[in-house]
Amino acid sequence: MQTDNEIIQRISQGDVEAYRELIQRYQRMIFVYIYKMVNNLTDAEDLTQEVFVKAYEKLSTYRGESQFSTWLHTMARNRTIDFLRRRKFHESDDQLAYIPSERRDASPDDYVMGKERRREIEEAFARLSDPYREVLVLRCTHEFPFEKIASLLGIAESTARVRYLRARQELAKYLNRSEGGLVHELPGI
Amino acid sequence: MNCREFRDKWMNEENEEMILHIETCEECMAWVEENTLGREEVQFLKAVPLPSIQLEDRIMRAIYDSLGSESTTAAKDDFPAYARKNQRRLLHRLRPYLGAFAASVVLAAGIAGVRWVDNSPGELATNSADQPPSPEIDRQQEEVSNNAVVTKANPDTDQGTETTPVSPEPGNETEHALTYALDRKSTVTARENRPPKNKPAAEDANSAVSQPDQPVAQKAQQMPPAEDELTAANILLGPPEQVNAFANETDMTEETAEDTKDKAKEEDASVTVTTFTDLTVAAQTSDLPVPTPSAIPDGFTLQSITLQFHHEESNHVKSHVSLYQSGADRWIRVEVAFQQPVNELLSVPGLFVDKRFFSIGNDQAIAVTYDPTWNEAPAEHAIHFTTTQQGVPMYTVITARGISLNDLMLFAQSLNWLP
Repeated sequence: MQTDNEIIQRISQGDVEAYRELIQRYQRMIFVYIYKMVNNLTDAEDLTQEVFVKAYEKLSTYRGESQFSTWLHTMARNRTIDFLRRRKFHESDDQLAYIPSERRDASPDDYVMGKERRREIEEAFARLSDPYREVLVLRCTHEFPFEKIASLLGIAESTARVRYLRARQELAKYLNRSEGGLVHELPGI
Repeated sequence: MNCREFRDKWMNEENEEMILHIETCEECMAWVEENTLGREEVQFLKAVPLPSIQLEDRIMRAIYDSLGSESTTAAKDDFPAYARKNQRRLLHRLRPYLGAFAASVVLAAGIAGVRWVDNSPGELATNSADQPPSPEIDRQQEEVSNNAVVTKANPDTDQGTETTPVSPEPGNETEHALTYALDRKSTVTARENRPPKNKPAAEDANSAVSQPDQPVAQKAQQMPPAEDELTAANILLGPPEQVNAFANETDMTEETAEDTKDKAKEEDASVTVTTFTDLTVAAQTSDLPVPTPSAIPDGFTLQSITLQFHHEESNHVKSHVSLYQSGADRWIRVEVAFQQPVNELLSVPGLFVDKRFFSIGNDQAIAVTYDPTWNEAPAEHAIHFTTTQQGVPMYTVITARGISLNDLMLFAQSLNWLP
């Protein structure tokens, strides 16, 4: 199997189709990260597409100093943060900032017993700050080592560890509060 | 700080000592994890959706879109230099294929033309990708078969935006059918979002020739009868200005005066094709090695191999097409074009539901199954590879319908080359 750098070399020589191999390798990682952050399938796919297209256009700036996956993830992170910032700005008026975007399209079936717990977790997760959600996704979803998380986030490994533990603690706190009825605290539901 | 001290303080404070401790103490990490979230929360965090299977193709299409828009707005300043640079490289690399594209289209026209001479309706209809011969087609073929081996494409032919097939009804004007063929070709090139330079020549030829819904035979049957100086190539290449437009677009960045001169000479030259039904005999005539399969899928037989010469006085073959068929709707087409300069680039634009990299001898090949919902798919499957046999570099495209991709790959791997 060719390395990322070998594939990039092929692309730089004009083999556009070689980029498919990089997409196949990393689209799931990028998509999952974005989805967990934005909590909407359509937005996640659109952003994933944007990230890969942007990465293709900027490929000449990739110097191979870090892993391609890290470079790509940084691009995804920047785009996602920008998206979230814009979304929060637009949603501040209708007080939907803390509601996972998919919830707005949820069918009545989603409210039946058995999904209630998942809903609580979803909502608590959505209430976390972006850095906390991000570190949880990188650690719990992607199962990245802290060294890589630190590299992706541009922080020290010890900071990444502490941030991760605090994020878990914060999520647990929200969930404990939700037992009293988080749904009722949220306007618009 | 030891673990007990850390755990005592963790919930209420955070200091440098604690951070240093947690950096190396996996036990305390695990302890905090256990005491914060339960199984359900962790399960939620681990659960991931999968992106849609179309996402990869969406991304590639967007990339081709950006390249395509760049090719039509060459001086766009905000387009990354990287892409422009690579686009020029790609143009340079694919230039040899442009000749092969023209050759392949001409070959297809040649097949149709030669078969008109033979006046063999059944064989003509077999050029259709997946439409069996119909009485209607046969009747029309009888009407036109006595008229033209060489048929003129009218330069005044409507080059509008008609993009739907024209049914071969007696009342239809043949120019309309020709225009459709031309439009299909331009759809694949200029109007398509992907840049034409990313499409190997033979692929384009397939699009123009092998479209299931517009078989060569049917289009040929709708040609207006003419008996003057025109060649069969014009049937599919269309009016000269359209051919030039295509050439200009694809070679706009690096075309040299010499190239232009040669191209004009080739375009002006008469089409010289010869068709055989025996590969050995064809190989004796051709200086371009001829592929002969040692394993042909059940039911398939060689229908023809058509050689395309550089010009009417040349003994050198620039390309050839072998056609294998089983019934009316199962076919394998092997297109081989002389490749100079040698280029290892393989690029198969399109939307795919399956794609594989494999070896044919010492050569790397790409095999794809086109997305059946992609209405511009030239075939059901395609295999692209470059090879050098007997010192002759060649670009080979195998397209097929009616067999599995695995069988097509086995077919490709069984090819031997007759000098």
